[in-house]
Amino acid sequence: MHIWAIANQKGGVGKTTTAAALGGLLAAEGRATLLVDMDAHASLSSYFGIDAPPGGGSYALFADGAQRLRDEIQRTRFERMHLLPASPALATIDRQFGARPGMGKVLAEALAEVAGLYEYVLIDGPPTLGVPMVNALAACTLALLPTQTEFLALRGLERMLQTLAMLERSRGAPIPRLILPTLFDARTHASVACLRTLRERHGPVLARATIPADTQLREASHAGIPAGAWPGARRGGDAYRALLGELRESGPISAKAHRA
Amino acid sequence: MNDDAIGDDALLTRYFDALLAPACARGSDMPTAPVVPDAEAERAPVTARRYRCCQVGSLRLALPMAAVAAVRPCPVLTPAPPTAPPWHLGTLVESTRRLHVVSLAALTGATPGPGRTDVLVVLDAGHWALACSDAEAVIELRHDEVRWRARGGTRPWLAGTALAHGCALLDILGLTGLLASELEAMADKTGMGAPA
Repeated sequence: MHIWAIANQKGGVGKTTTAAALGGLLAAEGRATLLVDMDAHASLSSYFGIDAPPGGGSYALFADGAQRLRDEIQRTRFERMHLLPASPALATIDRQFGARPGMGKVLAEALAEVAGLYEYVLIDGPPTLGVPMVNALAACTLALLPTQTEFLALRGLERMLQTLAMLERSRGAPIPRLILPTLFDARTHASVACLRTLRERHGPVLARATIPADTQLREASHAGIPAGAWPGARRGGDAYRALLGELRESGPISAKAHRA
Repeated sequence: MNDDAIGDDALLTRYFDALLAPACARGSDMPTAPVVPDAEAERAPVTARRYRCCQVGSLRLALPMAAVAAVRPCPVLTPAPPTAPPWHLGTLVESTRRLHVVSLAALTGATPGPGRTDVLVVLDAGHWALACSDAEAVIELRHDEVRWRARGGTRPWLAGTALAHGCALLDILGLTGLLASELEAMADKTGMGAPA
């Protein structure tokens, strides 16, 4: 089972859109896919028009135990794409459970229970560092880091990479990562210069695919349709298809592993 | 790097080390967290979940709606090989996947009624369809209405029972794990390789 955490400590970089788009493409191919919303804002849940019951969704794993996962998963209206929604109660987890030993591994334990049911799990991480983010990164086989192509976002990316390095030490295992440039606008100097900087600093772990600033991606999210299935989002959809191809052909998601 | 930054790193490392340390008790076994009471953090009761009921003779088996992709009449199947487990009725090709059709009667040991394989309940994930005589009914169950079983045991397909609704709940993970392991065992015996 491939577990991709879509994470960045900065908000508004395209995490939710990326999770929905990749999930939609995988499910459309016939891959059983589970989306996990770990953000108290529940943007991914809202994208698909799904609400977690009070005290339910991903919060229930922490409050009641990892075995609650199967009860909390809901179907989306897209075949083979399921969702573990988030509820606002997720925002209280750090205060309730703090740094209690082992609380960073709750999601990993829960996902181990459904390893036979899904080929792909895509975790939409929160834009803050805390228990939900640590769970997402501790559970993943790949961290996908959407990064807006603007200079403030570059600073956010550096902080995220520092966090990953520290988490790797605590986890005792490397976390493969791929940086995904998002909201790219070739008409602006700032966007082009930022992409160049990303290539210079992070070339080996930078995705070749670049997600454009496509207003139709917003329309797709408003309609609750993943980018690849939204007719208007041709540029955005094509970019996500290219990203998926890239994820398969190299790095931790080899073609051989993908077929398994 | 200045002293403040080093301090931040040390704090974060300590925080991550604690979160990823060997697990302590969680869930209902977990001691009460020392937090200030707060209405926002207070948990409301979990709402009911919907289940599809499969009728197998006199036995009613409920499975979570989230696990069901489709309910349809059972077509003519490609017969299962003679070495297949008794529950394996045959296979069926459906768009992008080949489905193994499972007789719930044979699997559970229930006495099959008339029309025992008239209806197929296709599972959303994996390669499985469950054959039963009827799957029209949908019920809502609250978590506390179910007498949950511990995992494992001789019937890994059984998640629990809901006496008030007169049904047993299927454990989809336990069920599909059992089916897959029996098919693999058959493939090992016959040297045919694992079925798709």
